[in-house]
Amino acid sequence: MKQKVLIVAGEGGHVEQAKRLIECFDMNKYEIFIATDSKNIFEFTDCKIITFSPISSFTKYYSFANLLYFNVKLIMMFPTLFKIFSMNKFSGLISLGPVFSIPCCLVAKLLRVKVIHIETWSRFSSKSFTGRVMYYLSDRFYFQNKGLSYFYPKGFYSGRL
Amino acid sequence: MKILVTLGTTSFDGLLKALDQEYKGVDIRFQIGSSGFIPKCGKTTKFIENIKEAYKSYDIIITHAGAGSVYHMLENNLRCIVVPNCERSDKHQVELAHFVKQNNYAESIDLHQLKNLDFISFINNVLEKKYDNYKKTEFFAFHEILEFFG
Repeated sequence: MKQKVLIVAGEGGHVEQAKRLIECFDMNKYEIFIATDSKNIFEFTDCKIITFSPISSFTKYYSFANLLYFNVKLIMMFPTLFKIFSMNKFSGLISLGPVFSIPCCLVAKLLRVKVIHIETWSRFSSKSFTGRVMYYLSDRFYFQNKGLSYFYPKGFYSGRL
Repeated sequence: MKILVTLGTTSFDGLLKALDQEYKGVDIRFQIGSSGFIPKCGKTTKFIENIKEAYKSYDIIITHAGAGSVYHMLENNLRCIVVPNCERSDKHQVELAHFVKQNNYAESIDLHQLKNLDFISFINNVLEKKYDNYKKTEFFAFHEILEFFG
């Protein structure tokens, strides 16, 4: 039976990183699920795509309305996440950010599914909000740019996708 | 000369406004993503289907510093100008723009500088300049990850 892996990638460049990561998998051995809040995913024909209502876009520009929408949408994700995890026994979850990853990983951790976070390839000399949280939440933390070893001393360098 | 301005899925009104001018001998196309501002000088589209193919038909691409777009351009030796989008609440695009410039992989300029220079001579300089090939350490952690999952 194929092992199930859940990959979490919000939108834009995070989806591009997911695409490159998925190319590494042997699809005869693994069944890949992608959780995303991006509307523009067309390329992943071999994977099961689980689309959530967009939340990542609300964090790009600060406003009270965005903060409110973000929190409401975030809370609404949890029932769906619990349902997905109860229907599928995942070997692990790979998070690629952005903030959309955090609720997915929280549920995974609660249900004792192993979580790996790969910090986004666009950070060279600072921590992302998602990175800060995932450094403590994930079971193993990777970064793609060597300069980040200073910020994440317990993390591992992975090379770049 | 054919120029493409591309913003991916994001919005970056400042860049569109700065480039929304008639330039002699320049055919400019704007891919505006979710921007509110619609340029008047040049063809404008929200998204371009199969944009990676479309890139090849332009002499120069002016892009926001979104990593998905920029890494693709560097990997394919496309001549590009990277402009970090500081209109976003987090300013992380500055880091990638700096990385590109520091390694001489492509041109990078901030919006303020772009507004205050002679655009045509800047473009001509970029076309003539020699840039280094993009090098990276390939992602090597994949098997470690699978082993970790067991």
